[in-house]
Amino acid sequence: MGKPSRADDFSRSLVPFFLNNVPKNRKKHGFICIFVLMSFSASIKMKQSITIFFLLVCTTIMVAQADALKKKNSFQLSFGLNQIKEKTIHPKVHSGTSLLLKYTRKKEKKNRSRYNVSFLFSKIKTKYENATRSTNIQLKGDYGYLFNLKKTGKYQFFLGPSLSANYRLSFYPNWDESHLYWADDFSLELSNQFQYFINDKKTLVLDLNISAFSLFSRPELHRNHKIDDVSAGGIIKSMHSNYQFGTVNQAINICFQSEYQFKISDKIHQAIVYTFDYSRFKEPLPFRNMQHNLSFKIYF
Amino acid sequence: MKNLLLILLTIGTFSSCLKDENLKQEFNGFTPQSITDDWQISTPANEHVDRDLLEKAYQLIYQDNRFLMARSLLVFRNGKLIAEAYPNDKTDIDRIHNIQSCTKSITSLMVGVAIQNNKIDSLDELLYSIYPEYFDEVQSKRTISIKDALLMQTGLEFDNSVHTQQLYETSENSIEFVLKQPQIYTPGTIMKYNDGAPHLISKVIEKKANQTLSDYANSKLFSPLNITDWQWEYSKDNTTFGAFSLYLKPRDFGKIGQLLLQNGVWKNDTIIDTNYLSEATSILTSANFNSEPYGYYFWILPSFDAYCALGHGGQFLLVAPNKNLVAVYTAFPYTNEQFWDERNELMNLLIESCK
Repeated sequence: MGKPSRADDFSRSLVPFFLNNVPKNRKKHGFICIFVLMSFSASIKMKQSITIFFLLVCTTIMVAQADALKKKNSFQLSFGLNQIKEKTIHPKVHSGTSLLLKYTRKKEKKNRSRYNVSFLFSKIKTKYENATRSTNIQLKGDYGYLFNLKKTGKYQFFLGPSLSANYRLSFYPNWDESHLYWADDFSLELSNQFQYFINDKKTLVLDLNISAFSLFSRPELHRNHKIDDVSAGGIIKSMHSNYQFGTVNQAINICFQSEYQFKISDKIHQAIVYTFDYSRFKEPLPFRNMQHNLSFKIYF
Repeated sequence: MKNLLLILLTIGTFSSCLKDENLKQEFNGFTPQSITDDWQISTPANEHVDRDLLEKAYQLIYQDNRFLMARSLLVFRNGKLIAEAYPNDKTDIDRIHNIQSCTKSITSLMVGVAIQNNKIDSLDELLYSIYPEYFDEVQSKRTISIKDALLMQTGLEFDNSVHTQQLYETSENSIEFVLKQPQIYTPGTIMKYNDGAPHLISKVIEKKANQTLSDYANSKLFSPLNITDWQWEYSKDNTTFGAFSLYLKPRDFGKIGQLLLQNGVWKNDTIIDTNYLSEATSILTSANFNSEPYGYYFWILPSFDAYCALGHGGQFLLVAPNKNLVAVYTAFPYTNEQFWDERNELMNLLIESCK
């Protein structure tokens, strides 16, 4: 290592701040991070050092605070079967495998608040097509506040409302070379969660969400324009156009999830998850989507 | 009992999947619907058409996967509508529909209309003399004539797979966009089917008629034929697309076929210059990609003694003067080529059905 850089000086000045603000049980990890950072700081540029250091300190402090507030994060990687029936083109089923990434954050005191963000990518085809060319992308986010209605030593039951935003964008080049197809909705849902404690290390969790009211957007049934505006702005504008309000009769999202949580140790907490997702928008803009996903979930 | 229900529910959830539905409605014959429009309705028997062959044609578009995305098939003989069906949706009868590259043939007809109305004197007139402001410094481009553009022989390297979308999206002047493409052939020598040349013709008509192609078509073609419901897309500089994106109802598209059959005359008024129409629908060149004979934006079918307009999705307007026959076939207009068929089998059945 050569002459200490300005990055080293800056890093060292933040160490006392870190020592004073992070609880003891997190300091060991923090020291490791700082050691790694300082080992490399001579060989990387100052701006990068500052950024990395800042992120490490913030992350550590956030994790420390999370403990105090009983927060729980999880990350989920899923593989599954995705089926779409885009009836505005034709009523044949597009099927294919999907990859889904999902991040969940829970905060709990007496009641439970929950945030989910997920991204799905899938290549799909109908039985009429030789090659898989169609693509479906989904971005979803929701927030739910669940009331703890029943708690015993063996199980817990939560029930409450949630708000969700669901974006589903598809391109079917064999069927329509010119347009994008979307099925977006903002929904008010009823969510419930049943948690059954098998033993100290194993828990079974069943989740069920059903939308009650939705504001949903679909492309017009007869699209009298040859080519969509495929600029980023054009796509975003299209995906928020032609909104309609619907109750469960017109638009419905159902998501059922069964999760088997198990702890290998106190620090390693994970789960195997099966998720069934069903969405349907009825006439005059019919659309259906069904997903079966099997996931591996890590809590941290 | 509860466990059994739970097991059944679990199995049901795991195994559930979406089911295919029929693409088309059930075939219920091809008797034309009685609606109030200008078409006189008749029967195949009255117009000496073989009903069995006609039925075969309709079975083809209803049941054969080569016609997966069919929307309508209409047959007119002796100036009367004798058969009609809408496999996808019966309400398509009253819906305008993108006829895609069949639009080129309508653009060609508008040249004939402009000649008839003394707006265009000669097809040998150079585009440079009409709108010099859009040309760059390449001298050979200045020798492109109206006729060269009508024959797809501008020599410009306009590649539909790349440049059509760009033409649609460009914010610059759309004529300059077409004309700035490299000159790869001498004008008037080699036919290269493309969407750029009809766009140049659209601007020719606009300059000559002092109104856009779509406005001119409305006043001189659609209005006389009582075509009131139509749409024609245009570029961002308000130039009507000469190559695609005219929307018509199938029955109105049939009226244009009937006008062709009547040599451009409608209710005793000559709408299209007769000589131009005769030339436009005769063999003048052959296509670069399939060697099929071509006129001024019309495909010539010597084996059927007919000519036609063709559009994406397998759509066509077939005119067989010797059979006094017009046929309109429309399909979903944005489908990839793997889902539409060579039209010959369908056209053959329609022509053969005429006794």
